[in-house]
Amino acid sequence: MKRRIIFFLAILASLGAAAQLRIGGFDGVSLNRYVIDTQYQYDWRYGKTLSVYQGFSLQYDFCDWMGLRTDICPYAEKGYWKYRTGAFDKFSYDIDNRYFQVPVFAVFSFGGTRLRGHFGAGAFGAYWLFSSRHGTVEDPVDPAVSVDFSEDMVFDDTRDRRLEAGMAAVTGIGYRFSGNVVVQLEGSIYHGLTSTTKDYMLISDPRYNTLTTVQVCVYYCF
Amino acid sequence: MKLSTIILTAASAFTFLLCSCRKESDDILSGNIYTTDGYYNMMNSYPRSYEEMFRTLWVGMNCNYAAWDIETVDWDSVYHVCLPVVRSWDEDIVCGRDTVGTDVMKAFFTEMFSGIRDGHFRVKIWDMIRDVSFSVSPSADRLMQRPDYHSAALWFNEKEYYREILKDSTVAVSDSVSPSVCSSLKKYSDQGFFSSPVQMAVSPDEHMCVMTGVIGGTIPYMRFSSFEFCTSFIQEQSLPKNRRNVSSAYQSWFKNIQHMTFDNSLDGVIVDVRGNSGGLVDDFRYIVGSLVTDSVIEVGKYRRKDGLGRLDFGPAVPMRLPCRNTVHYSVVNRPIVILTDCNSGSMAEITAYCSMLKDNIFTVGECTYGATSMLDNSYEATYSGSFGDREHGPYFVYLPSGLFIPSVGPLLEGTGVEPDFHVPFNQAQFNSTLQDNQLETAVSLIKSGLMD
Repeated sequence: MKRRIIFFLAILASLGAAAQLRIGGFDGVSLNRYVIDTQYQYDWRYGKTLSVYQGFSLQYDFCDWMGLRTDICPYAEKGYWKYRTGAFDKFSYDIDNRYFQVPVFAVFSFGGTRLRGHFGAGAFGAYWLFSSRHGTVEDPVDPAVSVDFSEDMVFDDTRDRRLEAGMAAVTGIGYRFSGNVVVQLEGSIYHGLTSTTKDYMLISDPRYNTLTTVQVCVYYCF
Repeated sequence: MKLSTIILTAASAFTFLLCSCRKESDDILSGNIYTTDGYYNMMNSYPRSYEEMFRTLWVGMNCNYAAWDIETVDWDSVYHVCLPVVRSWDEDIVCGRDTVGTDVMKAFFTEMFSGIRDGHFRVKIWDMIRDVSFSVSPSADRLMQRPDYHSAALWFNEKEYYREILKDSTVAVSDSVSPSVCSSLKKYSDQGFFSSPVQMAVSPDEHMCVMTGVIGGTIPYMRFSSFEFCTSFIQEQSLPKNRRNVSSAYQSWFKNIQHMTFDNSLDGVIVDVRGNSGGLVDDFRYIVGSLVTDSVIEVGKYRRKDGLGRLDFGPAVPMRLPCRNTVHYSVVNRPIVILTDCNSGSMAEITAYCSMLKDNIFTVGECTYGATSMLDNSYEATYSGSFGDREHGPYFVYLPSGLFIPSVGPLLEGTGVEPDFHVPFNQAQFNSTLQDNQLETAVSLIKSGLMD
């Protein structure tokens, strides 16, 4: 046992010798897919929505091929487009859901000193900040007329699960400029494993978000 | 083990986790599954057991009812409590016992749905074994518990009677109205309470009757059993002019208002919706909509069900009722009194609710029924509202597709519109002397100038 501890400490010490902290920001786009089982309401469609994906990133490299990274995305959009087809195509609305999202990745990199590829896997937690929706529906009095609406959604403690958690993965390539600046082009996926609704009914009807992002990260390496 | 193997294994495990960690939805059957002529008929068969019928009925309510957020009933508990009972019925049948009568079933379903607040909600159930049907209406049961309850049949019923009673009266046009009401109106008419003959009319399909007259020469009065002017007018277009009774009665009321407004002799208007069970929202333009200057009146918002979840609701969109779109004199400086009672339901309540939106509209009488949400046949549009088969069972659930949210004041669903002037109906007096204390109070309030 003692030998194992000494061995482990030795590895940590050797990693520490190459340790490097990098701080940066990212900007890109995100595409959310809302996963829901429509069951017999089969002609309701849930489309993907494209949005801006921005935030800050912090990465600690234990060695030149492994690091631990966390992102802070204060305003991740996980909305969707809900609409009907055919005779009821008056029903169409965009749902805008904003989350404060923090993923943590174990990141592995490979390649040369300047151009390096990387991939990582981890988990994320997100907090549902607010929700709104806008679009058109059938007028309640005259079905021949469409009505535009725009409203903020009020969270329902019985129905809505505001904390989201899931698995996250990232992959991309980076280029190191002039020693301390690294620019990375990468894609990531945030696969929610908790339903956006609580299990409040006898019938189970979970709904999930899957957020895919493409972003450019700029890091300053200390 | 090589590093690449480790990474590959980890990546595979990660991908596997991504795909497998999400919980699947339960299979949810539509409450409309047993309709014989519906678009959504998937099984084209009847349930094979009481349990199967109970489950689809329970799920149908769970998914179609648009006001679960205002309910206090624990719908999941209802399932847990009721399911063993229903299973015992099936076991009895399998064992050849017939211990559950229709009365027991009716009591069971009455208890099951007793907590539903919606005023329109009612269920018709066919007892498949005995081939009999029965209906359950929690709101009707609650109505009968009210201290001010009196039957709606008092007002519009028993059409054969009044034909006889009205034969020699001053009433101009006769058809299906309650004998008591007609006798009362005849008495008032004979006493000179009405300054012109009371017109009575019944729609060609006999779904609606209308009575109009002028009280004291200055107060046009109209009473009608339901909001079906639109359909009546259309039906009467194919009839000769002298048989367009509803149109004639309505026009006399409206023209009197116009003439009196023009020559400034109008004291007020009385719209009597006592015993009125509601009807078409488009009729708004012919009643309150004909007395105001607005082109539309936004009475509140309407929120439909939207999704399979019990608490999935669509957007609350403005509910704008259309007003008369032709040039007319509006009643702006004189009171409009809506006479209400405990049987005034649905559109009658929306009409009464306008007293909260307009300064010169007042309600006199009793608190209304408490059924203000709309039934707009929108099952296909929003997968909500009524479901089941109206004619062939095994059940039919009469249910609004949404919830009416008033722009002023609390929700009216299940509670009704409280009148501005509460005047309980004196049924004993009416039965003995045919004196209508609510109508008389409305007239005296108008004459007294308290509403100006």
